[in-house]
Amino acid sequence: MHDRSLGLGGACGCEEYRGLSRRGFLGVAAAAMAAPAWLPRVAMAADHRSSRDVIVSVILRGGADALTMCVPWGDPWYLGLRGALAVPMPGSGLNAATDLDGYFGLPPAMLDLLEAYNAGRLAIVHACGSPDPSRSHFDAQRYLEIGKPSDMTLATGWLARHLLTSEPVMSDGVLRAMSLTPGLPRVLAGGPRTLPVADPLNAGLTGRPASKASRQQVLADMYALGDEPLRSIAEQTRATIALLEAIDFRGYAASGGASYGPDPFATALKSTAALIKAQVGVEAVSIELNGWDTHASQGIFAGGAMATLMQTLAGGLKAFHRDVIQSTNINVVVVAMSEFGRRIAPNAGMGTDHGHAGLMLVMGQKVKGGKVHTDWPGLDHPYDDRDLAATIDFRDVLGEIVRYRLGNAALGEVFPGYSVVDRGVVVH
Amino acid sequence: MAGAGGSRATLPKDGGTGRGLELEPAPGGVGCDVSTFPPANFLSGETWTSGEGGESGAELGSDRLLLERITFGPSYADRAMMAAIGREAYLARQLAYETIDDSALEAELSARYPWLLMSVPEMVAAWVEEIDVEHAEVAITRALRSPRQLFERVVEMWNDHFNITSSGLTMAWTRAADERDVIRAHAMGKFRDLLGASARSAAMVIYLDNARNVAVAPNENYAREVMELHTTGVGAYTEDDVREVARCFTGWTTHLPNAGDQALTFRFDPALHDDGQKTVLGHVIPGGGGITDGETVLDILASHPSTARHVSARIARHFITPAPGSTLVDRLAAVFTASGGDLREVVREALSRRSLAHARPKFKRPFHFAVGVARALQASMTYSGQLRLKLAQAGHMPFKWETPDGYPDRTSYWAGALLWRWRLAASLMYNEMTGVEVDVPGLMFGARTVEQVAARIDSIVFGGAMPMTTRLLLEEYLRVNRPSNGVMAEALGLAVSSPEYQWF
Repeated sequence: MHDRSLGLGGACGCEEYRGLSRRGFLGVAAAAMAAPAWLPRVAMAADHRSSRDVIVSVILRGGADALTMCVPWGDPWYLGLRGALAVPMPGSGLNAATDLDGYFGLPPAMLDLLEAYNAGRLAIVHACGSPDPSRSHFDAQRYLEIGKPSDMTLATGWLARHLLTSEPVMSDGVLRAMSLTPGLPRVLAGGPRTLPVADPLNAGLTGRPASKASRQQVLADMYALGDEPLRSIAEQTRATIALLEAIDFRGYAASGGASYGPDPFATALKSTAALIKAQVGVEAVSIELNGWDTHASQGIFAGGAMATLMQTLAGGLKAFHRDVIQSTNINVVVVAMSEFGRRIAPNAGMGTDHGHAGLMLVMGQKVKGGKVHTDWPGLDHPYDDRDLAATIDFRDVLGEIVRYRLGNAALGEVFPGYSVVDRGVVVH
Repeated sequence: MAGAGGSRATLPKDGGTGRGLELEPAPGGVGCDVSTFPPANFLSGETWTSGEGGESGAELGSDRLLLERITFGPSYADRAMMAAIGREAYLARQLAYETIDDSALEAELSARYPWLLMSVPEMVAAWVEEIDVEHAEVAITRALRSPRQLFERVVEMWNDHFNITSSGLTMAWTRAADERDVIRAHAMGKFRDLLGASARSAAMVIYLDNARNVAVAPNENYAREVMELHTTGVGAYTEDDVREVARCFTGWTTHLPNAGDQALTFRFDPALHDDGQKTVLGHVIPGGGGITDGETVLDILASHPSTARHVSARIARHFITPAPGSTLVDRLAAVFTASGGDLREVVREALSRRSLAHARPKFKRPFHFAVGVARALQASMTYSGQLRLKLAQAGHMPFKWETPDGYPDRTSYWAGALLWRWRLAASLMYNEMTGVEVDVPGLMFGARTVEQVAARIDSIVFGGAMPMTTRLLLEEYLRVNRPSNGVMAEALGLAVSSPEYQWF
C-alpha cells in the first residue's frame, strides 16, 4: 500500500505535480472531487429496496459459555459434569432453566430471548464451532472473523469478502458496512465502503462552523491526492459525516413497544436500528459485546458477571426484535457468535477455562426460529476429553446466511476451502 | 534569544516569493526579529537549528526516521537536540535513559498523584479512588512531556505485551504498581527479570486468574498466556504443556485486600500447590519443588529460542515495521540470545541503521497521534484529563484494553477512524480542551506572509518535510480565508489531519 521507506514526506507522489502551476494543481484536485458520489440518499425510493437482508454481526469476545446460555438439561451428564455451575432443571424452583423443547432450556438471565424465540424469529445453533483445536482467544477470534480456521495469512474478514463479491444494494450508496466500534474488527477488514464509527451521534467536524465546509474540502483534497488506504477511508468518512448528520439518532423513537437499555450494547443496537430504518444502503453492521472470558467467579445467576452479560445480550436483542424485526418490512438477520465455548467441567474458582464448541444465535424475519438447531454430540462424547464437541461448523450457519439471506452464491470466496453444509437455519 | 544557548535559530525556508497575502501580525510582533522563533520557553536550554542543517537528504531522512521512531512525535526540542549533538549521541543518550533528568516532571506528577509513590498496601489503606483514570492521565503526561522519550516508547510496548486491564479498584491499584514495579523497572533490563516480576505481579496474578489456580483444579489462563503472549508464541507448546505449566504455577496467589501491610501483594501458598512431578516443553520438573516450579518454568520459557524470536518480533513491529521479515527478526533474536535477554541491547540493535533500513511506515495509533500533535505544537499541558477522555472515545485509553493481547497495532484496525483525528485536531487548535493550551500566536510569531506561515507549519508539524501537495493546499486555505490567528490555527489543525501526518 505504502511504498515510502521513510517515516515522513519523501516520495509522496509530488513528482507528477511538480510541473504544474499551483492553480493547475488545484484544478486537478478539484476535478478529482467533482463527482458528488458522497451525497447522502436518505430518502430512498421504495423500489430500491433490496430483497437481501441487512446483516447485523454480533461478536461476543472472550469465549461465551454455551452450556449456560442454552442449557442442555436433557443431557443425562449435564448436572453431574457441570457440578456447581449447572443451571437447575426446569421446574426446580429458583434459578431453574426454562424449557424450550424438552431437551434445552434458557437460564433466567436469557429469558428476554423467549419473545423472539416463541415468535419463530430466533434460532439457537448449538454445539457449533470450528474444526481448529485452538484454545487461544486471539487465534480463534481471527479464524472466526476471517472465516477460515487455521489460516494465519488471510487478512480480510468473511463479511468483507461477502461485500466484495456482491453488488452493492445501492450502487451510489455512501457506506455498505459500518462497525459501531472505535476500531475496525477483522470481520470487516478489507471491506468496500466500510468504516468504524464509534459514536454516530457525534459525527461532524468540530471547530468554527463558518469554516467547516472549507476545512472539509481541504481534507478531501489532501486525501484525494494521497495514497490508499487512507484515500478511500477519507472519502468514505466525508460522505459518512453527511450521511450520519442527516439521520436523527438523538430523536430516534423505537417502534413496537421496544425499550433499549442505557448500556453501550443496547445503544449500539438502537443506532443500528436507526441506520437500517433510514435505508441509506448500509448492508452490514458489526457490533460487539465483550467480556465472556469467565475463568473465575463466572456468576451465572442474577448479579453475577456472566448473568449480567447474558441479560445485556438478551435484553438488547429483545428490543431490537420488537423495534426492527417485528415492526418493519426491512428484512434483517442478526447473528451472534463467540470464538469458542468453555470447558464442560468448572474449575475450582467457580469459573470455566477455554473450551471448544459454542453456540450461535440467529434472529430475523426469515430465520427458521423457535428451534434449537443441533446435532448434539452428548456431553459423554467430549472433544479432547473435556470440551463440548463441535458438530456444526460455524461456516455452515454463516454460509447459509450469505447464500440465502444475503443472496451471494460466491461461497468459495467468502469461505475459501470449505464446502458449506446446509443446516436449515434460515429460509431459503 | 534567552535560552537559545547561543546557536542562532535559522528560519525554515519560505520557499515562495513572499508575494503572498500578509497575515495579521502576531501580538507585539511587527518588526520583531524572526530569529527569536521558536519561542525560547520550550527550548529549555537546548540549542536549536532548523531541520535542514546541512546534511545530505538521505542522512536527514534517516535521522528524521529515527526521531519519529523513538519519540511520540518529535518536538522542536527533539529535532534541535539531534541536530546539535548528532544522531549517534542522541540515540546513545536516549538508550541510557537513566542519565536524562526527568526529576522535575516526576516531582510534579507525584505531587499531583501521591499514589505514584505508594505501595499497594498503602493505596489500599488510603483507599485511593479514581486511580484507573489518574493512571491513564499519568501515562499521557509522561508520553507528552518526559525527556526520556525512547524509554516511554519501550514502556508503551511492554504495557501492551504484558497487558492487564485496569478496571475496578483492586485491578487499578495493582496495575498502577505493575506498571511502576514491573514494566518501568525492567523495561530496558533483562527479559527474565521483566518476566519474573510480571509473574509475581499481583495485577497479573489476579487478571489472568492465577489466584484461582490451585492443585485440586488448575486454572490455565495464566499458563496459556504466559507462553502464547509473553514468551514463546503459539506453536512452541502443546495443550499438555499448558496443563503442566498451570500445575507449576498452582499456589501463586496474593494476599487478600484486608491483609493490612501485605494487602494485595504476592504470596505463594504451598497448601494450594501441586507438588507432583511435571514435564514442561520436554523438561522434567521433579516433584517437591514448591515455588521453584514456577521459576523453573520461567527459566525454560525465557531461554527458549521461540521466545527470543517472539519478543524480537514484538520489538521490530513496535519500532521498525508492521511486518518484520525473518532476516530482521533473526538478527534481533541473536542479540537477545547473545546478551542473555538484555532488552536495551535488542532495542539498540532495532534502532541501528541496518535495522532501520527495514523500516516501513507505521500508522499512528490514537495515543501516538494525540500525544504527537500536542508535542509538535508544544502544547502546554497542566491537566491531561481531556486528552484521556478523547482517547477513551477512540478506544485507546491507557490500561483499558480488555484482553491480555494488548492494544492492536494493525493499520486496518485503526485507520478507519480518521474522523476522530480530525475532530481532535480541531479541538486542540481551538483550545477547546481544558488544561491543554496551544499558543498559536507564539508558534506563528514573525511569520507574516502566506508562504511564511505555511513554512512555519511545515517546520512545526513535519520538521520541514511536508509534502508539496499538502503545502499547496494549506497555502490556498490561508490565501482565501480572512487571515487571523484563528485561520492559522485551522491550518495547523489541517496539517496534523493530513494523510502524511497519520504515519510515522
